[in-house]
Amino acid sequence: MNNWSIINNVVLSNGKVHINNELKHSIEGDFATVSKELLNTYSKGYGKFFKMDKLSKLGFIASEILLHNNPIPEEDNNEVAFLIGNSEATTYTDIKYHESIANIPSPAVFVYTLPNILIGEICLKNCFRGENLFYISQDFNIDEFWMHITTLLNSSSSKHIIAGWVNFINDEEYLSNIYLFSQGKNQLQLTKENIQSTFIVQ
Amino acid sequence: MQFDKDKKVFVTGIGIISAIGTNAKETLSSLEHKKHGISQISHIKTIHKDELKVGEIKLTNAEIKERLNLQGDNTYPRTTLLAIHAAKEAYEDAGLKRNDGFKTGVILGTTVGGMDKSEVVYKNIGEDLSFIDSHHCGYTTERVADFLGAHDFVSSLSTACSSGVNAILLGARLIKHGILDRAIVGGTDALSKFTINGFRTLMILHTEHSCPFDKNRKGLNLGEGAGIIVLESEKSLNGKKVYCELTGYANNNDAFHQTASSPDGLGPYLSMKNALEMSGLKPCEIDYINVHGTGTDNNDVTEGLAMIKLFDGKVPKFSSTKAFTGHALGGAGGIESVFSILAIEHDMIFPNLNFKEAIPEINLIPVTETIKNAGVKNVMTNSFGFGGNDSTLIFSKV
Repeated sequence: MNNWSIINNVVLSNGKVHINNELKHSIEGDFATVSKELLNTYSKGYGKFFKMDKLSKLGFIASEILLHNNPIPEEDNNEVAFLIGNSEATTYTDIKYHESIANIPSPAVFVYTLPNILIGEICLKNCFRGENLFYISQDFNIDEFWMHITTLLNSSSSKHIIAGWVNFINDEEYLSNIYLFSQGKNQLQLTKENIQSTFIVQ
Repeated sequence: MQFDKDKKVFVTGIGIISAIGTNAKETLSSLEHKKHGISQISHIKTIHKDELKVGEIKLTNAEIKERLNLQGDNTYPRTTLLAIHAAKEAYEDAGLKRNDGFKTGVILGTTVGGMDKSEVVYKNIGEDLSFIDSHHCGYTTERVADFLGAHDFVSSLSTACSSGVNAILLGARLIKHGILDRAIVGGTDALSKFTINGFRTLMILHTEHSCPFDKNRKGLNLGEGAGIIVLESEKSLNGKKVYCELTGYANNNDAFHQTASSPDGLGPYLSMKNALEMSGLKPCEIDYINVHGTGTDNNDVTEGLAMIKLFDGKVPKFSSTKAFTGHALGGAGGIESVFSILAIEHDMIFPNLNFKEAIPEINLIPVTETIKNAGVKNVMTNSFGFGGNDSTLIFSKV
């Protein structure tokens, strides 16, 4: 645990992007406008983005910002683990899909009724093949989050972890708060207190 | 919290309900005698009724409630009822008692949650809002925890079809950390219109009985059920009967496609390899693999290629049991873990139904008749899910 650092933190909510608690972008408009603008800045031309559901878009775009100045060395790709939680699972998309059953149900929508598909999207883009865990909990709870982190660090060969909370309720209420943790010593050691002090719940 | 990687995790109880039985005993008998549970849909009103075959549990919700003495409570969706049924069996099988001083948690995987109920009630929204509470994936786990009085750690996992295996993986990890002394873990999912339509639009449903690992496989049959096991550390064993030890587990992402495996099965290869490394076993020591084997074109060939690579061409005896039960999605990992434990307990390898001809690309022939006295000491079981989520467990005879 002493050998792990918090490399980067990205919070995307309500049109605002905070990187390590610093406001970097403030975009007016609904989620579609916000995500499209951020895509153009951080991941222009990534066509698969447009077929994603909103939860995946939210997590994906935050991961692109997270990794933008902190690329993971390719030789570590098999050791990049994920630990993402939220409270809504994919309810927003579930409703969309449920409505579509009445006409022609779409397989392209159906796959996004699984929350771990969001992790899959980030893995697909970056060829990350480490362990994945998606959990659902009523609220973000630092003790629960920390417990998952420590158990993951102790018992797997991961060298990097992308972890956090990605929750999409509707176009106005959404939050992606994700971290990159890596092995090695950096200014900010990976501790529960250091996460707590940086985690913003909106 | 003290992590001890050498701490052993034992299986002390099993519970199962699926299309081939409502308990472990019935299930074993069906597996042994090649009695499958694939039929037409009877519980769900769907226009696809006549064109699909599924692994349906013939008990109605009311009948399951009656077995569990839950009369009067109408809010449980089927996913929850199946989980309580299997959890109760596992709990009693392990001889557990409430408040015995050992830290006991419940971790379950599910993909569909209370959808089976929501999709029926949703249309008449305003009359009955109870479905809102029971819709989410965590509901089932909470009800199981309440039913058993086990609240030291309660969590739900949703990682598509590998959810059940990942719940077992997490439970084992919590025990190794001393966070729990025992974990009631596994997976559950009920059939619903939501999933039937979803898989149908993906065009991976076979209209007839599926034939995993066969050259002419045309897709999967959906199923339903729950498989739940009790994991315990040495501390709480107290001389009780142990089925086997969970010696290896791993999860990896395939990073190729949301609903298809990479052409060479890299994700499945990594999860099998990492679980094997953790177990400390040599590849030749694996006696049986209960494969994911959905019967889709893509899964069986890529899983086969991954096995050929890992075992250097000498693939152990293997079978897919999905032609017995259908693919129970989030329940599958729990159900097939119970099958793997039964294989060790009864020294038996279960057949892969409907196999006729090997897939040319891999030329692998599964076990097609029940093998008794098979010398089963170490069993590997695979569960792969959408999103590239690949998991493997290894159970070993103690």
